[in-house]
Amino acid sequence: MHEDMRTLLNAYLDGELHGMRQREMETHLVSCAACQNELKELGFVSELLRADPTPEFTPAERFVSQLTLSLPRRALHERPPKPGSLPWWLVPAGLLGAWFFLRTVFTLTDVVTAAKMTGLLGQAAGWLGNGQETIWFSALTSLSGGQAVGALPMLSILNNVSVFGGYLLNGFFWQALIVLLYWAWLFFWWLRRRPRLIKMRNAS
Amino acid sequence: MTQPQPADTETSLIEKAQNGDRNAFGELVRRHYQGVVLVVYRMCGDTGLAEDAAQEAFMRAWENIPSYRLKSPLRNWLYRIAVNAALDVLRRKPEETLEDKEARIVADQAAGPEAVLIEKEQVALLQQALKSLPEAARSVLILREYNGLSYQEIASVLEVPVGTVMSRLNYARNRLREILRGYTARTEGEYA
Repeated sequence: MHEDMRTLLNAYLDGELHGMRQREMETHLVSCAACQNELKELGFVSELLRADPTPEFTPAERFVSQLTLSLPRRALHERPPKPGSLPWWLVPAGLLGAWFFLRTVFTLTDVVTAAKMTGLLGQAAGWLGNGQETIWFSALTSLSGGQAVGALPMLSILNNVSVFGGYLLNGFFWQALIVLLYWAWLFFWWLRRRPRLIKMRNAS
Repeated sequence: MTQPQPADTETSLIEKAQNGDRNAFGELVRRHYQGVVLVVYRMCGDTGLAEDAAQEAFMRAWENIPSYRLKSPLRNWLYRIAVNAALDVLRRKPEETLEDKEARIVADQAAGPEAVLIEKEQVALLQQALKSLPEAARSVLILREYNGLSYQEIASVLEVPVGTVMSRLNYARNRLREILRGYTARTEGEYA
């Protein structure tokens, strides 16, 4: 107990102990002569240190004049756009636009694919070509004369799974990329805004 | 480049200085000169060296102000630069001999009534002892005693945890207390 309190004597002397710790220290000091004495000595050291007079220095005005004359020229720094400027806000607007464009493309693709598969488009779907084959499946089909491979149900299923997976991955990749870029923008926005919040807190 | 007004906030002056406005930087120097010069003087213990160190500190601040961010108060940032500048100035100056130190203490001890003399000796002794403390402990003690910074502010200036500030301050004051005790024991013997 005594040793714990001893290490806190300086903090007590400097008014850095608060609440329960301060009360504990005050209670301890009432009954501990050693700590009372040490506190007195520490206070005396502090008093003597401050008793040393500060000499006269060059007056601030003259110092500033001399200093500003000797300051080296500095190239103006190109600073990133501030939050609030137009280019800064164009970033999230652009990302939102890109996301909207992608969603439209994917939805239209889904609709057209579904219409084609159900035969709703009829002959009009001919110009769309056969988008249901992977490269490896097309290569195998052409090598075997378009007969033998197409007949194997396993390869056909694998081809369909690959086409579906590729479609999903493609959609997911681009949207995830947009979301990541948006998060990055939000993070930078927060980083640049933080000092202002601190300043406002200090001012209040 | 417009002349800064006294009402200009520190933030606007910093922003102007970051864009190369010397007058705005000059105003910031004017506002923080007293505190910075106090730090460097106590670190160096010599007026001439302190003014060199203050000049160096503000030059460094000018060079680095574009990278300063308002995460911590400017004062803390300047004090950090000042402590480092003072230590660099001290490292560059020729080592003071023991005879010089003793001669200075004797010169400081002006004749007078006994009690005044003892106190003057004690003050001079502590200033010498302060200079002999390790740099880390000395800078904490100076920021506390002469600049009146709180433990949290000292921690921010020196970029160390508050616990480290407390332990360095304990070490520094206890070391000075021991030196003072030794001196008191000696003088009591002499005057007895």
